[in-house]
Amino acid sequence: MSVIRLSGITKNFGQTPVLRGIDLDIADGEFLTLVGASGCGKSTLLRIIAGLEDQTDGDVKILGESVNNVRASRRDLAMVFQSYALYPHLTVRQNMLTPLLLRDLSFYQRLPLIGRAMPGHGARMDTLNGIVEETAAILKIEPLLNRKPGQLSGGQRQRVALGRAMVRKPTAFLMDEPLSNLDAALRVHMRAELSDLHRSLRTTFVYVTHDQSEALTMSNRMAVMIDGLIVQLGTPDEVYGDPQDIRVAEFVGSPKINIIPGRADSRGRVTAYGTPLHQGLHAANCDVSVGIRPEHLEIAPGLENDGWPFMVTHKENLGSDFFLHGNINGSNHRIVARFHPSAVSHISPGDEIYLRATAGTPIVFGEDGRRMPLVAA
Amino acid sequence: MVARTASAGYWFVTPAIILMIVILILPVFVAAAISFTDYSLGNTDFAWVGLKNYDRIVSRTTYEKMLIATGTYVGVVVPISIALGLGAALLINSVARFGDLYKTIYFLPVMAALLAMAIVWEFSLHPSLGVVNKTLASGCGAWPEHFFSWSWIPGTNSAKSWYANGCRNGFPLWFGDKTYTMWTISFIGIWQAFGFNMVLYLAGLTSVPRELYHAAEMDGAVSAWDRFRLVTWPMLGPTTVFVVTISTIRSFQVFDTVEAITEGGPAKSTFVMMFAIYEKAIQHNLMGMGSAITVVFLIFVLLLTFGQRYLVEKRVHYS
Amino acid sequence: MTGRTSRTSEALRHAVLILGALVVILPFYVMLSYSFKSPREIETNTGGFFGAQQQMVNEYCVKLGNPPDACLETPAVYNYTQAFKKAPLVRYLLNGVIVTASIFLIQIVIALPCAYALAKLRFWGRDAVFAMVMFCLLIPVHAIALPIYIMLAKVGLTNTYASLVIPWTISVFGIFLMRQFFMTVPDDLIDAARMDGMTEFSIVWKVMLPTAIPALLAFAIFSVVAHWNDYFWPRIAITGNRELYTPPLGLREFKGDADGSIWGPMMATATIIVTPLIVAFLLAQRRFIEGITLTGMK
Repeated sequence: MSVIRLSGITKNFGQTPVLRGIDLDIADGEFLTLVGASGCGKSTLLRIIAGLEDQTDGDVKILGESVNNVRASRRDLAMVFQSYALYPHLTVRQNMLTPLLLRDLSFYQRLPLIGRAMPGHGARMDTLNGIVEETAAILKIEPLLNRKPGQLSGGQRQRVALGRAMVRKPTAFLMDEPLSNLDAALRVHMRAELSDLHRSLRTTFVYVTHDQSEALTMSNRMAVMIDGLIVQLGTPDEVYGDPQDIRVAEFVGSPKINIIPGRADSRGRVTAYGTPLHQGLHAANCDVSVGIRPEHLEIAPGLENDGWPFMVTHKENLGSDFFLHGNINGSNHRIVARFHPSAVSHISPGDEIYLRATAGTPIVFGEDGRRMPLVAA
Repeated sequence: MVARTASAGYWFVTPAIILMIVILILPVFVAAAISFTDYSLGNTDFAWVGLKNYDRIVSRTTYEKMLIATGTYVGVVVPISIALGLGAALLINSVARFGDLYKTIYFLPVMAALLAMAIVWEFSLHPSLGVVNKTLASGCGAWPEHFFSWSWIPGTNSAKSWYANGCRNGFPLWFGDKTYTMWTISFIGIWQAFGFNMVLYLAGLTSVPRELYHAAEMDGAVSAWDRFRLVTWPMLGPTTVFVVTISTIRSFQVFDTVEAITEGGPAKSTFVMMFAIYEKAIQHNLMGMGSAITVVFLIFVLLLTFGQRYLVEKRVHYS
Repeated sequence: MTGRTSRTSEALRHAVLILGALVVILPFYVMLSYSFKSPREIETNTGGFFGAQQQMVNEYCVKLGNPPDACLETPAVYNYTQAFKKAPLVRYLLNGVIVTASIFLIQIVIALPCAYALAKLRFWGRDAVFAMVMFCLLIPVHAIALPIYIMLAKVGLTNTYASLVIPWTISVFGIFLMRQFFMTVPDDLIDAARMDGMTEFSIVWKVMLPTAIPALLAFAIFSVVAHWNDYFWPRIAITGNRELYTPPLGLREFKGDADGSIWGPMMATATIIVTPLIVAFLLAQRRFIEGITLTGMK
């Protein structure tokens, strides 16, 4: 059964549509990422799931029950905010106790002085503190329990925000770009930690990010959102290797996929820059775009073997890989190709070489941007 | 270049320094010095009387009343005007329309000369001519009396209620009756001050990070009280420090309403310190006494400012 | 959304706010309304807001020996003309303007250069001077009114415009406020002006002043409101010379002479004194509120 089900969610801010009809089933225990560029509506969608925003139309169901009229504090979800939103005046321990106090203690038990005098207070607090300490141990923030957020580093604050979300053991965790305020090295480290956490907790994670590498590395499934719609939903492998839309292909993968113009002739054979691809299309006589990932380009011996004449304009050394930038056939279109260092040691900017696509790797998109499957020619 | 700017620096600060010394610092010493004398303006000689003036302050009932009056006024006006200011700010922040209109209206008393408005209040609260008593009286015998004398609550003796009493024997002399005067004066002070506090709190509210409210919501904070305790009040800490300090110092300096309406009476029940200084020094020409009260006043203000800063800053979080 | 406010909850809030607004506005309403009314209407509390404006008999005119028929006047006109006739109200208003303007101008002349020096110039003793400013912030001028008065009396300056203005010329608050603003001005701007040959003095007025207009405006509002409405200090400083009364003093004098039937003109006087700032406030609300909060939040 899906943990969270969205049906036909639309959202307008005044006259501007931000979400244009989202249908999504999130399975129990999965790590689902909503990924897209700024403005695509992913954060808005997350807040609609949380209940912090109301949708203009459509249904949100959690564990089979509609929660359209249920306010955020009652949906049993926890959220980690981009800015962490920790209470600055409370210690880490108190920050993490807050959701527990609000859930388990009644109004009177929470009052400043009177609450302390009520019977059972000590025992209650012991239980709750125990939960906090347990969670702190998992996140390795025990030494920080008595500090205030202002005294913590970015990474530490992030863990506290996670801890505050975890103590209630919610139905799902919602995360709004939690890593974007961290520096690059810490971000890579936290990606692994979050994945480990997900595996050990086995709770559903709904994760929003604009960084496609985060989506690829952490998700069970990722939903690529463009302009208020989910353009493709699938596992990272599917989205990377089998994009259904040219925009998805261009968004996922770094460096960006190379798109070169091509043409399908009357028999469906595709040629790009004069060189035919090994497969054809069902369709005929149309202009197409051919996508080739940088790692799928290899150096060809010459023109004869399906090679494109390639003028190298720039060579990037990333240590483990080299990237050659250049133009094919004098066209203005910039192509990037990835190579192992040994393959290009003799090549320098200004050289003319021949490139070709590895067999079976090109991805063809039609004029409307939709994927056109290739069949054996 | 450095020398030139340095010399400019000296020229620029010197007038301010001179004025600070002559107008602000010197008078403190002058007051202290004169407080030990029995000086009067116009006399050529005076005598050093040591601590006699201060002794009077701690022993004479007049001065005891002065301290009580000042303390009562500050103790009533400050908390209530702050609470009302905060309340108004929260309410105005939470309504969708007319917020600006309410803001404007509530701020009007701050702009209007207190002396003028005090006189208008005196007129409005006039026992027989004033609008207030007239309106109260017009409700006698009709539904207002029935409602406000609590006769609709079973078991109460409505004839003993304040309103019923007023209908029978006449409504109070808001300024003339010793039991009411200080409260009336305090009311005018609150009326004048809370708009200022409201505006400060409104500014403070805009700087509360909105995401904290979302975090509180996700944590399970359902009621407005939860949100207030968890986010609003703590985040308003710095604003509150400022508001309390300013309000307290301003209420200590109350003068206009007292001088215009009650002149310290009746029976010195509103004999606040600033008025005492005025009466003793200017009206009675007892400069020594006036200076002694001035010194005591300054000490209070200083203690208050430091005390508040210290106490509150220890507990306030500046994030 | 968090806290969906129901209709009733919203209505309740408006009810409370409206109740508060009524209490706040009451004296303004009374002041304005009764400034239009005749003595009889005042006594009996009738006549609606503007008063019925029936011709009333001017008692003083009768006392001077004129027949009642020749002494009929419209109450509103009577009240306002009395306000100007019984006491030299125009003179008082003028005094208010002179005193308020002088205070503000001198404050600026003293405070701006000092603030600039404290913010941007380096000289030995700068920190000490700033510490002095911070210390003086703790001394409310009203609190030391008495010794200042004694000092002024000793040099014979009481009962003069000087006595009304002098104690206020040093505004440590103004120095503090402007210094905070000046510190945000980029040093490059000032160095460029110096390279152009500007003297430090011109820099204050031609470079620093324009950048701090919002703060200056806020301070202006703060200063004008405080000194136009000030009653305590003028009360002490002006002891005999009516010519120097500021508007609040004028109103107080009016009240001091009061016998019962003078309420109408007194309300008219109060209205005249209070109106300028209220009108200015209504026209430029945002600026005023910004000003007061700016000075507050520092």
